[in-house]
Amino acid sequence: MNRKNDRRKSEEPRHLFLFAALAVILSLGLIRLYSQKTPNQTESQLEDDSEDFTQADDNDPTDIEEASEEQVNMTSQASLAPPVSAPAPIALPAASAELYDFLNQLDPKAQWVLSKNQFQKISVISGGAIKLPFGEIKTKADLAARLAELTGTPAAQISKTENALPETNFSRTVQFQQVYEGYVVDQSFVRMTERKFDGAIFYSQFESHDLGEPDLRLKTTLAEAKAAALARYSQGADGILKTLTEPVIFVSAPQKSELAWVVIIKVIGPRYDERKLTISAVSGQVLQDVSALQN
Amino acid sequence: MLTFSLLLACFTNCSKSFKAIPAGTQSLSSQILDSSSTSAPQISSKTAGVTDANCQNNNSFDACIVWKNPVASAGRVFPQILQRSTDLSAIQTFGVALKNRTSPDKLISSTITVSASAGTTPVFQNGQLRTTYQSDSEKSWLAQLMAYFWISYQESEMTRRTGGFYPTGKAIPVDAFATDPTKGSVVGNAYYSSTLNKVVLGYAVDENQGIAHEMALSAEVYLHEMGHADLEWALDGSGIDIYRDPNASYVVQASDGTNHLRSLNDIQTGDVLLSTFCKTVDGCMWAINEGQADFHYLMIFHDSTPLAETIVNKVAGGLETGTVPRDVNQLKTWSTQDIFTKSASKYNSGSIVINGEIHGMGSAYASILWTIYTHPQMNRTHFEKIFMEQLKMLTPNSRFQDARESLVGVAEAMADSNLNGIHYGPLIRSIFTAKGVAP
Repeated sequence: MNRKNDRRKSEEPRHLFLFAALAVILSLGLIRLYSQKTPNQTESQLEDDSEDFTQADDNDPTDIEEASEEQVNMTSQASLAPPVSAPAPIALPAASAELYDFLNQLDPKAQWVLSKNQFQKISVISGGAIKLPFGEIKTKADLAARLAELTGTPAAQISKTENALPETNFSRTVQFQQVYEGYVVDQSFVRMTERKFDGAIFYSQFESHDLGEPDLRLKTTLAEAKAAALARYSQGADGILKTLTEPVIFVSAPQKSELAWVVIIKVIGPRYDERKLTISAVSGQVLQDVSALQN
Repeated sequence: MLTFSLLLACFTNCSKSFKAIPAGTQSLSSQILDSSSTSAPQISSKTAGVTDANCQNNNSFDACIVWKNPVASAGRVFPQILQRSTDLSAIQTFGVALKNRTSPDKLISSTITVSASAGTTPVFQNGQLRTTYQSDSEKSWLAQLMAYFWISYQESEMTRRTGGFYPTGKAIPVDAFATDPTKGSVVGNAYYSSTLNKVVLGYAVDENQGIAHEMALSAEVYLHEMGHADLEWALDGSGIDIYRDPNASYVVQASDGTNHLRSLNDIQTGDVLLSTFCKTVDGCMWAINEGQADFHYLMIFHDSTPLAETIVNKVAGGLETGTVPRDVNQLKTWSTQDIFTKSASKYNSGSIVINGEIHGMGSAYASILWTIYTHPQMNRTHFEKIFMEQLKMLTPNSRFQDARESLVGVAEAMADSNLNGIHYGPLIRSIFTAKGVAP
């Protein structure tokens, strides 16, 4: 008994130390909690860390305190609202274990969100922060090729050439074209967006296509394609506005693709229009015809 | 060392758990779609100029124009749809500075070049121009002044609030009054041409389908068109056409005069496009494009949300699609399914009814954005930043759920560095769910 008491006494300084350490940990945890704010905190509690918009935020009297008073009176008017469940991560589509393994290696802390397009092909990967280089993946082009492969497009079809989209203060976006036998695949890309402040890629998009065996027979010329486009609108065609000077691979359905010319014409008459026509370089037939005007 | 290890463990676990279940989102369900829930507004566009009854005689202004559009400014309708040469002196009192002009006698900046193919070139004196709408009928100077001012204001506001505006410096021609189809006019309509990088504003039609007045008197119309330009330039260099949308279908008039519903790859020779529709309630890129363009004018005229009050001569605005009003405040409690069903058009004497017209579905998307923007837990400037970033992530295949994921992805990525550490992802996701967008 005494010995036990003695032992307790001898352990007191260690307990105190552990208690103090835990207190520090809890305090720091709380600090961490507050650093991960959620939208219901008042703006007055928040320190503005935005460099770019100091003036804007000064002038933005977003009054969450006042708004929260309004919330009290709102519930009765929400009867038309469909029920809202607590926000939950969307269900992950079935993806190869290899893709998940690879993503989890790239960012083990990520909560990956994968979205699919209408062909049930993975079209977006988000929810993580990928930093390069990572092993053999040295560049964004390497990563684009690897992820494309894991989402169903041969890596060899992803160009190494980086096309930049406009930068913002926050992000930089680059895109890699899908190519086959030297021909660009129309409306296709792998796109990656990175945060400028730490270079982490947080959003990757895959709009590459399953080409099958493309028909690459070049049996019509660009001039013939232009003539076909104008002839289609013989009543109102008023000239060519723009063309792609090289044919592209047009994918009309998964595994159905062929070489095609792209021509934009002006149509006048009672209804002005600008039409983008995709014309088969194999058959000369119009494969797609869509208005390019945005009303 | 032990303390340090525990500290590390707590940091890792704490941050993960807080990220997974953000506080403040559990109680949203009863509030999300409530039309009375409006957080405090951005600066009113009424402060973009000075309302001065003596504007025409006050040389501290470069020009005297109308705030938003004549009906919105007056707060009442005209006896009939506004006609050219009407006396607007009571409301042409909004004194403004015409900023960023490359020359004081032209309506040209590095971003836009304003002219009117059916008007004349404005004549400035000492960089200022005074004109009354009553004396303006052959000139359309007020239309040109308004187009220049409001687009320049949109550019400066978006840059100030979000850090940039993608069309800046892109020399976009703006035809403020086009009446000739050979010069691109579309009757009763306006558009942005991505091929020509040009905004064309037509005219409002009177009851005889004649020219009533310049569409450029309605500022919200070209702020919408500049929204199309903003998206186009956000994707500059991508080589993709957002309007080639596989999730849309097209109603055409065939050469025999009958109407048909076509898919993107099935338009026939002789078809004339009448209207575009989203195939399903999931939406389509055409609708997202229209909705985001509406949101562009809403960020400026957030205190006056209807569209086209003057064009339809109604204080509540108009341009209904089917029975869907083009006003996000009226749509706040409408689900996406409601809007899909009610944005229907009938063809062939009613034998064909197609749901989901893209401007109606665009209103559905705009309504979602508006509900997020005005939510009490949303800082509006924060959402404007998220919105502008997200434009770069839209693709021709985007549906509403894809737009949601990109908004969430951007919001979460920006949270710590640009949004004061606030994680808006769950709020955005909840509002899409509340509006009926599929998981």
